[in-house]
Amino acid sequence: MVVSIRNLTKRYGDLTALDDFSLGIGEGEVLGLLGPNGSGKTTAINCMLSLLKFERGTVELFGRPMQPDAYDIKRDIGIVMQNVAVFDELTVAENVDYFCGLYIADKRARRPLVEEAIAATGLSDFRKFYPKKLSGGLLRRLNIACGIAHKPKLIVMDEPTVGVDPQSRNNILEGILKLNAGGATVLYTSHYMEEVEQICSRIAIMDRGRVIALGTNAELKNMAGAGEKTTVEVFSADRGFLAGLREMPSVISAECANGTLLVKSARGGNCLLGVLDHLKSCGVAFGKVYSELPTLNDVFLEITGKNLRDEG
Amino acid sequence: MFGHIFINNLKALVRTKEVIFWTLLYPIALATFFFLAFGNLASAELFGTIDVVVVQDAHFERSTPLYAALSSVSDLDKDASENDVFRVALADADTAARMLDEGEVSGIISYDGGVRLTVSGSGVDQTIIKGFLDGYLQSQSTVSQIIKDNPDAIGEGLIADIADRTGYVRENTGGNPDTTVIYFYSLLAMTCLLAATVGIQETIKVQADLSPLAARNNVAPVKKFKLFLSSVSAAVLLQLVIILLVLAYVVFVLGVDFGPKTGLVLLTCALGCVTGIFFGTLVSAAVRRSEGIKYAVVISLTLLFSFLSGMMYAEMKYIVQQNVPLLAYINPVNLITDAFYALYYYDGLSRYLTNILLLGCMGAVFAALTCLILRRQKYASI
Repeated sequence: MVVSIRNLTKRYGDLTALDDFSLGIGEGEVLGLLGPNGSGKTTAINCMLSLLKFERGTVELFGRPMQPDAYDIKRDIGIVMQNVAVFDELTVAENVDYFCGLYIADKRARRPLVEEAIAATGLSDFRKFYPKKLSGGLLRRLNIACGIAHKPKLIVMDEPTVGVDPQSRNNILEGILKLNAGGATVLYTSHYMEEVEQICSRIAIMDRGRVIALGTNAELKNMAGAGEKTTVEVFSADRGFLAGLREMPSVISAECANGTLLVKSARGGNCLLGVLDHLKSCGVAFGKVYSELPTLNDVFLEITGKNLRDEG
Repeated sequence: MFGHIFINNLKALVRTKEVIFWTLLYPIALATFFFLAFGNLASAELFGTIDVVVVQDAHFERSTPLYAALSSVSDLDKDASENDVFRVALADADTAARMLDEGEVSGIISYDGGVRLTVSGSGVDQTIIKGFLDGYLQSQSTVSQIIKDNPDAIGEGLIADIADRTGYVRENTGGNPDTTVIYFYSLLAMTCLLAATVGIQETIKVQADLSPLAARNNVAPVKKFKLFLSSVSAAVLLQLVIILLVLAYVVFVLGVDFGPKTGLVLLTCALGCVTGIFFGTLVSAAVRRSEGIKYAVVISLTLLFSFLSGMMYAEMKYIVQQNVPLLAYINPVNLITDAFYALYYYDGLSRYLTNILLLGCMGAVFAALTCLILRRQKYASI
């Protein structure tokens, strides 16, 4: 195990931020830590990195206990903070070189790594720019370049895409997959389920300081009782067609509100064609129709009774 | 590693506009303001030789005592030198009146049985002439009274004693004291203490609960002490260069004379800067609050120290020294200004050395406490 966290408890006064939190990450994994804002993701990372004191529990990285002075362990860690952590007064190239220099003292050995990180994050054209002159997306990329230039074995990324444009977001996500392909183990926190689904080999869902679900994307979705969801735009004030829909064998619920019909089918079931046939037979006119598989939000909703995004 | 952190922090500090403004440009602007405001103050306090004209008539030539008195403060037979109080011209009454009208002299002294002074206005020169003549009349009256009451005293040399105008004040400074220098000393002391803000900035870079940058620094495989020492060293170097630039500006551009003890002035500046920086680092390490609160504490304490050392109310320095002497010795601002005062006003170095020793010890204590607090610090919240 690259990361082994056991029974971590962290309190801020009366608030329990981490409640018996445990997590393990194997070598070469991209583990997504998914949860709404305030669920304890950043606190878990800070405790893991020995930045925060905690009341109970153990943290082992690369099989050794993590301590503030465990410099041999720290040498193999790269961190990308939630908030951009760079010097405003140093240029892009100087920033990357500075942080890489904290890990690799030899200037000649450092130079190609700095260049590689700048190129990998698409910052080659901005190497002489000061951070204040960069857009939000470029600044996030610089934040990442500073965290990965020394080629760490474990990369911890705490919501690295908050507030960035779609182009930069794609660039960042592709970059993470490349780092993983290069051998790095990645711990990736986010409250964007799409990102986590896109890049993570395993996902841990957090709420109120605990891991409430852990598995691959498919495993988690199988935890949800519901299957496919069908949404239909209907142009009828009469709700008589709903009774027939609810009697269909694969349908577990059917609701209509504000001209939108939402039909949930049982796990593994598919009711799209049946729903449309039923509406036709009832003479209900309909417009847009779309169908979707259950999302991680549905899993979260089913376990906690609330939405991931609503909290964030 | 030390050099890598040092150079990059130095680069960052030099490029921080706020640092350059508050520690370099602001003191230079203030020094320029002082120079413009107080530039003429020193020259106004210097008294030049005063031109007077004595009406040379039969009455004056009979008045030997007046002639003798004027001779004691001027050289009636030659051109006046820098040390003479009066440059005396002898002229008839009409010429004397014309000279007064044309402003060639500040007053006319005439004698017609009694001494008379004619002036065309009021001012320092006129007051000095009047003061001199009042003194002369008082001495003459005293002598007359002694002759009347105790004629034997003449033989005992009493008259000679009364006429003797020997000064009893010994000059104790290296030169003519220039009071405006004190303003510039205060300015330099303030510049030294302003280094505390840079100290806060450098400490925040290793306090993970205060900035993401510090959190990233803390995750790196570098000892916190090394990180702190190298970035503070960069701050110290920058502040030393800045104080030298301010001093060079004050001395070479504004032409302010700091006396002959330049080396000791530089030593005081350097030690003041170092103590100022470690004052900032200690406050930053000890006050576990936000950056804004740390700055507020440093600025409030600096203002309090400055007030207690007499920067806003000169008497306060003496009040503190008389009533709470310990407070004077633990106040870094007071130690810096007092070191400057001691250099300027005293020939001996004992008072200066006391100040400088206390200041050095204070800086060392600040540095040691900072390291002790920061060492292996983990945080309850970030």
